[in-house]
Amino acid sequence: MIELLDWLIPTLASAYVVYTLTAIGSTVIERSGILNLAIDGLFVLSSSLAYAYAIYLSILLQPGVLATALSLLLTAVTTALLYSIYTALNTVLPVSQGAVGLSFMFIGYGLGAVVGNLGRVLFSLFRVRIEYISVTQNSVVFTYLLMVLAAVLVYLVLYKLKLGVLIRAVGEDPRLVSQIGINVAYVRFLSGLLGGVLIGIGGALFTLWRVGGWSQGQGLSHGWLAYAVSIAGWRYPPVIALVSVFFSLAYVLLPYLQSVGLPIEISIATPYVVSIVAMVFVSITHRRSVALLDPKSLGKTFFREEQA
Amino acid sequence: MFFPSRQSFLRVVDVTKRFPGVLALDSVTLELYLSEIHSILGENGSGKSTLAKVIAGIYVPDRGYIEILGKPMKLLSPVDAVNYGIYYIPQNPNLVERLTVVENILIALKSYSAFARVSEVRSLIVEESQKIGSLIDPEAEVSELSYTQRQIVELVKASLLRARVLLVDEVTTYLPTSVREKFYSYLRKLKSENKIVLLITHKVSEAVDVADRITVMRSGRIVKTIEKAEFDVDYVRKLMFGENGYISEPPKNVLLKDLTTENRRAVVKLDRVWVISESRGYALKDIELSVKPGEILGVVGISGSGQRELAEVLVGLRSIRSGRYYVDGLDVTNRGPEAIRAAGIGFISETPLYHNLSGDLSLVENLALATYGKLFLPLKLLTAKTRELMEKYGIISTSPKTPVKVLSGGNIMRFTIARELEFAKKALIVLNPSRSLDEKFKWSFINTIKNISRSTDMSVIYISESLDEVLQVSDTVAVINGGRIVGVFSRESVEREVLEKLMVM
Ligand SMILES: Nc1ncnc2c1ncn2[C@@H]1O[C@H](COP(=O)(O)OP(=O)(O)OP(=O)(O)O)[C@@H](O)[C@H]1O
Ligand SMILES: [Mg+2]
Repeated sequence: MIELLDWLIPTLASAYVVYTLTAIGSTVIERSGILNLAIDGLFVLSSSLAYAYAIYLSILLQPGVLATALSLLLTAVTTALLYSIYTALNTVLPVSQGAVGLSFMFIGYGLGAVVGNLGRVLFSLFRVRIEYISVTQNSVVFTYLLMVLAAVLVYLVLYKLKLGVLIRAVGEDPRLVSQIGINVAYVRFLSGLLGGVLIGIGGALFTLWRVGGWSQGQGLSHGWLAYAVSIAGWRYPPVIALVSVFFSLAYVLLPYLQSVGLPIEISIATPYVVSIVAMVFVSITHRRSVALLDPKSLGKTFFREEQA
Repeated sequence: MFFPSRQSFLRVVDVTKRFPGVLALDSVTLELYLSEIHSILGENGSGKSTLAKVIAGIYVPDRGYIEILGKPMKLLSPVDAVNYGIYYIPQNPNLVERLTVVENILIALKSYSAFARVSEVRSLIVEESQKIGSLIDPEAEVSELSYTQRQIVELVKASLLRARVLLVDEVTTYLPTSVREKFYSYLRKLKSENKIVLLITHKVSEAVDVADRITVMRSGRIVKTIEKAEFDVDYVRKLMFGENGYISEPPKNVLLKDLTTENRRAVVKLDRVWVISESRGYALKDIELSVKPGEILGVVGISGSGQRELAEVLVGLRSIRSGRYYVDGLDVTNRGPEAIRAAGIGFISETPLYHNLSGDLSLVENLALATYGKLFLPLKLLTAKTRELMEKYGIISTSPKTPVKVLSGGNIMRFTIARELEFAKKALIVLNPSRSLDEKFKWSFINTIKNISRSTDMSVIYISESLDEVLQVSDTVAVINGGRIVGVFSRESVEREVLEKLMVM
């Protein structure tokens, strides 16, 4: 039992951090009324970017903490920029958010493969080693605390600062908000930046910490899992931080379940089944507080002027 | 006349705005001077709101432009307008339902950066709403507020905005007198600070009392702009409705129903009804009401005293915590809106797009929703019926197929009235119906209700914040205050002062 915990707690930590950050990031974006259909593609892209940046920086500087940290940072910035373009485009283009979202998803998959393979080529030329992140037994508790802190911070931004109020307001009723002289596209651009940073860090940590390497198709479907976490957590950071524990547990326990004889097909399906069940459960629950309701204009195309 | 001190700030230059099938503004030219209160008067659908929205950058004109300080603004956006200090307070409160009062006000205030804390403005709002004379809980969620309370939130917002040009679109209609007076003095203060107020209204008396100049509009065109010296109620009315289009008198008090002799069963009866409020405590306390066939019961009270909740209970949109509700002796307590509608009870709400109509659907479809339960709709018949109603109630709409949400505020109300009068057989629940109606239509509506109830025995519960209307229409008057019915009187036997006292007690 003790052994299981010794193994579980650190393994769980990396999964927990990745899904929680990504889910909270996605929450910030969806609270502004933009459907985050791009998430899986951009998650794949950011996990590949982290790898390519890390290789490149390890060559440029030298393998070490600095190169890793910088690649994390660069990934966060790049993802933030992509997401801010995504949210702004979704606001200005008079086309369905579904179309834009799926395009970005496929662009993300494609670019992810290109970028990751670029990293591979660099690696085969220079043979550098990346200093991957590893968290020692002693400091693992610290990472959990850090997530609680992240959840609280984003909560404060969304619910206690004008910025967050603006983000939620454009998610509720963008036309009304635009009529009082607020630039909806700009507010959503900001929510893209903020959400994108978090998703970028999530994607980067997936590569630099959880997996510790890169292979073809890396990250695929993990974006969707994080998305499920965000919905199961009612798009509310404190609840997400909680719900994410169970998701991560389900995911991490997979290999363990296999080792005790569960057919591989079933164990692979488990997290998705958990996601679906959780989302169905969420959609039928009665949410007492309005803070927990879905944004009213989520996924709706924004027209500034009343259409006849 | 020569006005040496007049300084032009904003000009509307030859603006035309066409909506499919409607010419909402037809070559409108208007000049606004610093330090004036300028009133725009016009009947329902004459283009007042459209004009204000063009000035606020919400609508882009098809032709013409807005000129600010001599500079033509060909593509004025709401962001530009706000940067020039132009603020629009819309006809229907424009507040995000699921945000709180503070949050709604904070997002409109440019002087606070994105990193301002929500808590910073809280005390400011309490202070300002106290000044206006009507305390608003800054933490209340907008969806819990009554219509008038929302208007007060808009006023509080307006007074915090530091506007240079304040466009006020019919927000004063139902305000308690004290609040309205305070708001007028706020407008005068703006004027003395060299600001501009554009006061849109269909109340002639309001325009005459408050404004320095009045511009009268009819069917998208400016009839005339007149100076204070020419103000005269009758003259202005004529400009507004044309020479002979106006019913100047409220309806004569047609015979009051003699209810004492009628020993018939109540059509609508609430028996000790208690209803929970969203925020705290009870919204309705121990309500006892009963209405006989053909009786018109007026329920009057100031804003937020439980009228909206009462209406919602009566149409089944709100659940009853304890007590019973009977329609024609049948217990319909918490049986939902379908059961109550099926019993022939119609509803005219103060917020038709929230309670009655689906904004995205057309007039015909909305008529079908209310009157037909069948799977297949006799579309031809319904369209003909819609046309007939449009004709009868003077509803201005491009066609019966136009989505309801693009109609003017007053026309949406007219359509609601038309449909519900058509639908209701047993009783009609009416909640603050006249807010967006012009005077002419308001009186004809009140007449219609009276006639119908006299001739068909339909009962009416007329819930309103306007004592004048309630006195006009009712056989019996009940006063609601703090969620309780504090008095029920027969119309003939009660003095206005008594009712007023009970309302504010
Ligand atoms: N977005 C829109 N699309 C189509 N038609 C519109 C739109 N807005 C207004 N209209 C039409 O333009 C005309 C003028 O409307 P407007 O709202 O300006 O009237 P109003 O003078 O404010 O009337 P009210 O007193 O009823 O508020 C109406 O016939 C209305 O149906
Ligand atoms: Mg109007």
